[in-house]
Amino acid sequence: MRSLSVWAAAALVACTSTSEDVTGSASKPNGTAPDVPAGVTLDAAPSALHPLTPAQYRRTMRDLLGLADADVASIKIPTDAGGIPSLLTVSKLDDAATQLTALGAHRKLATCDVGGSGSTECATKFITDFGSKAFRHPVTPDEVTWLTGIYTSARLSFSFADSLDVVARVMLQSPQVVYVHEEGEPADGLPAGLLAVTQYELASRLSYFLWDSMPDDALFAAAAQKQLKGDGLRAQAKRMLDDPRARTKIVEFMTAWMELDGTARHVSIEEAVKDPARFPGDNPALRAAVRRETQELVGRVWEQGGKVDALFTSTDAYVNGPLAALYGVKNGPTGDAWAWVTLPADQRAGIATRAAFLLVYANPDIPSPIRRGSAVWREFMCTTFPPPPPAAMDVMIKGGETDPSGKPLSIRQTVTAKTMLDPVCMSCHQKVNPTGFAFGHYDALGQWQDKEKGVSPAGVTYTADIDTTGDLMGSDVAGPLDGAVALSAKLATSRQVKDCLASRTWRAAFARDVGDEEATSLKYVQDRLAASGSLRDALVGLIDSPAFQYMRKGTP
Amino acid sequence: MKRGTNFGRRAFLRAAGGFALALPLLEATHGDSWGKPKNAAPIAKRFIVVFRHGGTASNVQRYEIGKLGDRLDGTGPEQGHDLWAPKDPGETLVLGPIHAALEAHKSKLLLLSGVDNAAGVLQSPYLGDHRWANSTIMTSAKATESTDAAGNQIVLAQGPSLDQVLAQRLSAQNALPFPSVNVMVDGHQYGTPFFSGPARPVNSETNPGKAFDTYLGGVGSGTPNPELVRRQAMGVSVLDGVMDGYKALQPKLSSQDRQVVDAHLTQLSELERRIKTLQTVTCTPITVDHGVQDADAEHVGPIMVDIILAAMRCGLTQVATLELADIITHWLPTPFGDVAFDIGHSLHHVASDCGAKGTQFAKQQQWLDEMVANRGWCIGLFQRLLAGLDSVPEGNGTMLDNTLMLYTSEFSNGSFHSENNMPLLLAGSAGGAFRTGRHLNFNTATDPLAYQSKTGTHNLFTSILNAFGFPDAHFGVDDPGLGFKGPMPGLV
Repeated sequence: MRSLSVWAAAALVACTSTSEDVTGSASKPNGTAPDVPAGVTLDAAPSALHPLTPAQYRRTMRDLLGLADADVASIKIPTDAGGIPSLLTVSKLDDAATQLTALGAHRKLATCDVGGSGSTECATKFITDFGSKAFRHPVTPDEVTWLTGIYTSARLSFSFADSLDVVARVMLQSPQVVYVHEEGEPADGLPAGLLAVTQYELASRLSYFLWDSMPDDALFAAAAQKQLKGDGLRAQAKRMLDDPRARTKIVEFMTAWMELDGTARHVSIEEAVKDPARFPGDNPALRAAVRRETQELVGRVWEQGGKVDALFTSTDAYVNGPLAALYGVKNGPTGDAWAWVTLPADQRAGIATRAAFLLVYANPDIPSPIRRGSAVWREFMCTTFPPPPPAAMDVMIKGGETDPSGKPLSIRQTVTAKTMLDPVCMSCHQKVNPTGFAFGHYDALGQWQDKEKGVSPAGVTYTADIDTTGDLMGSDVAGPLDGAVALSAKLATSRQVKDCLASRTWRAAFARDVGDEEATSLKYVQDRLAASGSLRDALVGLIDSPAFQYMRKGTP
Repeated sequence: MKRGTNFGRRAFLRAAGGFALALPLLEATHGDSWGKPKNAAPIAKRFIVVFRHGGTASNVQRYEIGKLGDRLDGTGPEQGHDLWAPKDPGETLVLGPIHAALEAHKSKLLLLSGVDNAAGVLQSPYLGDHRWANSTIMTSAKATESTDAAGNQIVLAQGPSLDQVLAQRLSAQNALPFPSVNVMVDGHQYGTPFFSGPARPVNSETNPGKAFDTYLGGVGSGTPNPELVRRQAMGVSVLDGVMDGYKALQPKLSSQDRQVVDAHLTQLSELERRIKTLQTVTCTPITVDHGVQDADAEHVGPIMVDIILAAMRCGLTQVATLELADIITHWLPTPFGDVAFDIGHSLHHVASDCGAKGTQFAKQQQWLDEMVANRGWCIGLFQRLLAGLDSVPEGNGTMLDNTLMLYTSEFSNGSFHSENNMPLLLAGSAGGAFRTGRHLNFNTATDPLAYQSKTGTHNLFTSILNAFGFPDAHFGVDDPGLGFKGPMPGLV
């Protein structure tokens, strides 16, 4: 076992060169022929208009107006299940535009005295400059006509400053800003119906995929110079992946992968309140620290090359005093001081063994092998199960129940008794349970426990031996295993896990699942991830693929 | 910390009248304080839904999945308790424990038993599933499963909910600033029951300050306010400009994309209509503490009720919905203590464990106490709304008499996800359309432990449409599995 070592928080390892630079050019640009990796079909799915996510809208406003995160924190645009904008969403966009315009940041782009009477010339210049940034493409003559018309009409009733505000409020909730809509353009060598995504559209695809925000000046410049193709495109991708905004995006992407923000099925880290009698150390500050620890682990793995296996094997942990105590780290930081430490390798390995994952997939009092097991299958393996029957949801499994002879049952034994007798239950639980049982040594807060300690339904304190033998039955890494560290080691080598992760990049890139036309693009991304083991390669692979650079139009 | 001290009933009075704490609301508000839009119908009928996510409060002691014909409401020696059911099965209304706060208003209540969400039962897995139940309880519509942009599996109704049908139709007759007011106490839930059209869920405001700004912030007080006029004029200019931008995009779109942009345009034009209509309203509404956060349910609930009340009294709308998430009421006694997750629905899911054969039978009384407190809080909000309306004279009666209020949930027994024997409590009579002060039971089984019903919420909703003057013969999905179509018998 590695001895405990403490690193300075600032000593983050710089991004090392990864294989994307050499393996990315799977094909050679040949005249005007499309740049398509070998073995990949030149095809892409229809581009569908979709709104920026609430986070994307917020960050776009931040970057467009040169604001800080705190300035835009209160901008909360709802999401509409089904994708059709509700009255509330449209109303909130209008409110946001008003609120953001009131900050006055847009007025700095005006080249004349905003407090004076201004001029149409000055307004037109503002429309061209601000519009070309806000719309994420150089404003078209039609757009200039539309916006100057608004200005002229407003100026009849309002001051110059107010008229500029009206124009800015229109822009900030215009379709060009709120939605991603792509026209594409014809290009040589494309099959019927396929279009190239335009350079500016590609800039937005890149920036929302990798940063969850609008393109920066360098990306706009690359689009203006038509450099977003081949090596130029890859160079931009590399630059963007090295930017801290990519780290933020990856951390959120991985947090979403683990569903740590909660879903209809389970609570978020913040909502996962524990039984105060059993876990007096649980409080909002601890749960905030727990979130940060997993974020920092993911961020560190990302900075060190984004290796998927490291996500499941790393013993590095960034902890403060209470977290060091939770993980049983001796000589770690105390109080609010944070430091990198190494966790015991026989107890912890990667994201599935950290408190964030463990406490979300647990009950307030006892761990939930069913939730932990199904999370591994659902999230890491992309395996879905049909919904459990209503009476099975949230049924309390307390542990410490007794069998007919009066012998206390462990949580494992109770779960087995309640799920493996009925063939309907068994069909899913024979897969879910052995995976969840591997986590038996972590209590509901994620602390290591040698023995299962609990309180029986009758209120009697009991202890039980823990059996963490299990299996990932039916997966590519099936076979007996013992404990969550062994389970994580299997996940680290699983092709199925990498394939699952690769497929999840589609939603991050396009806000939709993989299209029928994109099967070989997906295979290409999965192969690259499998070959190098680096999430960076999966992202660059997707950018390299026809799915990213081309599009079809939707049915008229 | 108490943040809600300035928006209680007394503060409401203070804000409305500026005096006379001891006077009934009427005297502080009638006359010029509460305005009416021009050309408003003399007495408008109003419809309000209070929707409590996650089921009412009953427990059943068995683990089997419910099947049609089973009672899941606590009737019988093996069946535990039903805190929703009236104490008398007959037509005389004897309220159950959950409804205690409504005792004084009994003569204006109509409690229905034995009514199914037939559209939900017909479509849901296991005869009852949150997403299907939520999508059908107010729509009685066909629902379909899809994946949202974040990758979640969702179920959406393919038709509008009753409240939105009424909102659209009443608004067409009498254009008030808001076809409907839609507010919510935020928290755990499985999707809104309210739909404005196929696959178009209504998004409700969860922040009380924002709800105030939206619904009451644009109302003039009667004295000239040049700043408000300027603000509204700018708002109209902005919306005009934005609409031109969306219209320019329309010709370039696929049919699928056009649906999105068309909807966006419809909403923009609704926002503009709202500003223009608000300019005709003069009213002194309430004050609201803008510091109250969405998650502060204890205080959000009463504020949202007061906002609905003020919107109704100011003549801003005829339809309102109040959605109550499935929350644990931490500020009330919680004798049962922690449940699997910190959500109200988990409290209901331990119902079986609290039965005579359950593992937590020892804590049954604590469970019952906590459930009554939790669900009772929601009924308390219903009572606040009801009492507020009943305190305002209108015509020969009160505002409540011209209103129909409906309290419901997506399940009866939340533990079994039952869509039979739905919790349906009506108050007011939409101008005498329904005879109140009664309990109507549509369960036709003769065996007291069995359950049988052919009557569905679609029948009730047909009757409600009729009560508002719309001669619909049916509401919702047309399916041979429905017991019968047409209005619900016995309401008049």
